[in-house]
Amino acid sequence: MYNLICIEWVKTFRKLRTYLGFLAVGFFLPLVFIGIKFGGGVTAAQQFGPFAHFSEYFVVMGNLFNCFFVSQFMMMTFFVHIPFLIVLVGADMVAGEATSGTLRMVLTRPPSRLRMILAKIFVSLAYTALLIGFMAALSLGLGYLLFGSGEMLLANGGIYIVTASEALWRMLFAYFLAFLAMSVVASLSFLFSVLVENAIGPIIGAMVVVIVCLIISQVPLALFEAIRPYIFTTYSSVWLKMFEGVINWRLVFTHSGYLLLYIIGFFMLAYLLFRRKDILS
Amino acid sequence: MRAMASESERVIEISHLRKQFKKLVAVADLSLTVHRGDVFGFLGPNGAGKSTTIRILLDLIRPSRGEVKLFGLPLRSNRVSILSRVGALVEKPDFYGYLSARQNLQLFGKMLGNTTNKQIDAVLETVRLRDRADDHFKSFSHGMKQRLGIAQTLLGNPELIILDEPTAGLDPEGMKEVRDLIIELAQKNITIFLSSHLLHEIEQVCNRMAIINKGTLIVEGFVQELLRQGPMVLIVEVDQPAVAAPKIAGLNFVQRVTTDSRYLKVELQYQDIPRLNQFLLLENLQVFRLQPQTSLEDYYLSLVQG
Repeated sequence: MYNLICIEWVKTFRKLRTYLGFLAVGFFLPLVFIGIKFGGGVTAAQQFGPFAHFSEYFVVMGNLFNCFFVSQFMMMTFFVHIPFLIVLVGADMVAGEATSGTLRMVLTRPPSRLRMILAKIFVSLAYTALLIGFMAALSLGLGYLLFGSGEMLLANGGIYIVTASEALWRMLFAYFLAFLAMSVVASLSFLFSVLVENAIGPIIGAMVVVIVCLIISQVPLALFEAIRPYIFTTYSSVWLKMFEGVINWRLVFTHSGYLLLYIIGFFMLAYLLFRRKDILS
Repeated sequence: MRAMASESERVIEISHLRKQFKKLVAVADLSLTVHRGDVFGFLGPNGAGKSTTIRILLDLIRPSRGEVKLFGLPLRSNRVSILSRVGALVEKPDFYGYLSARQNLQLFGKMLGNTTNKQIDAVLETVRLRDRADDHFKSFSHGMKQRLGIAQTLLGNPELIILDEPTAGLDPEGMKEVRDLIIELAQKNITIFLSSHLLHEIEQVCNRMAIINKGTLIVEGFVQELLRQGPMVLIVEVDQPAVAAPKIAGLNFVQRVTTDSRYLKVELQYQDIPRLNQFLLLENLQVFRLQPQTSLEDYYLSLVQG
């Protein structure tokens, strides 16, 4: 199994498209931070973010506009875009190999399809974790360098100010939950990758599902109410719970559990399809 | 001797194999046996079901019906142990273009367990790619890709090598190289299952063969024995072809005589060639050439075209 994971790792991380996500985050995140720091973004954020009207009623001591605030801001900004970057790799895991013909070559070798798919799943989850981890490290690291540390202001369900150490673990936990949410996207794109044998189809298919589900879970229409509990995007914003003054842990664990079920479900379905798949490419 | 072969000597056993894709029957009812040490030619026109059969042998496709045994073991329940004894190249060799030849082989070698660099160098040497081992696969010519594909089949010292059209798209020199390589492997007592369109290739390389058409076995046996069953054309070059032709045509064991500008084409049975030779000598004709022209092509066409 270790050998298979190494193989998948080499295959994935020797491809340019794997780095597109890192390049996008590595380019745009500093750009936004620099823009906030030197382009008057601080004022804008203070006017329209949770700081809006805050200084009219409170005297602020210390630095509330710090790495935690900008990281939270970046998470909210990137959350819609990250799935595109995840899908790029997840959707290519099986379909990419089927298109290039290497899947046929690989499957003539002894390792079982189960082991092969497990190795691919492991690497696609590892990629998701690395991308989210990279975003977390860059966001908090660069945010710290540019904006320093301090307490975190939470303006969700009341006004709360948490200490820097609490802010840090809340941020890290939020990133972990974001990883869980993005893993659902990774597993969904993986499923499409098994279903469709071309390079573009799984990417488009997975993105269409993500967008449609996002619309259903976000647009307040009575028509969608009945569907909402059954779609994963209803639970994928669970990381936002970490930015509420009092964390509803029950809800965090329940939603995380649902996300986990989706991940397992999509991967299981992908395996069951892959197990019986005739390799005709 | 082959008929006496024990169960363990049967490397491939296919019984009543059928594969249906929706309404299309790719393999109808195929049964054949390949014995250890065979270089087995697998012939058939396009769409006959050759590639489907090969994919079933490698568990790339599940059969709709029938049984496949390799090394005496059912494939479905012994996939891992069986495939670790098999090297295969199905259709064209598709490797990772962004990796070198060596890295590609290392990657495939890892799937077999621990293939050493020494073993990889050895297979690269066998296919004469050692000096290009560190070049990216995408920079390889078609012939080099094909040779790397064969190198990949040699990893892990397989007992059976399955090659699907290994000379497809190669230039004559490349084809000869691959053919020589197959002969070289056969000498090492590796069983080879070779699917090909090229009849002369099968004729030159294989000791046994099967011809399939429309997913059904038409004939299976030793190449030379099968050839003798087919129509025999003997090229006869004598000093006076115009005189010889009517005389030969009058012989009761000759089926047909056609005249070319320089020689005669005589249709007869293989065992009647000495009688014809004797006759020509008795008729005081000078014989320059008696060349049997029975070819796999003639035989193949007679079977496939009915």
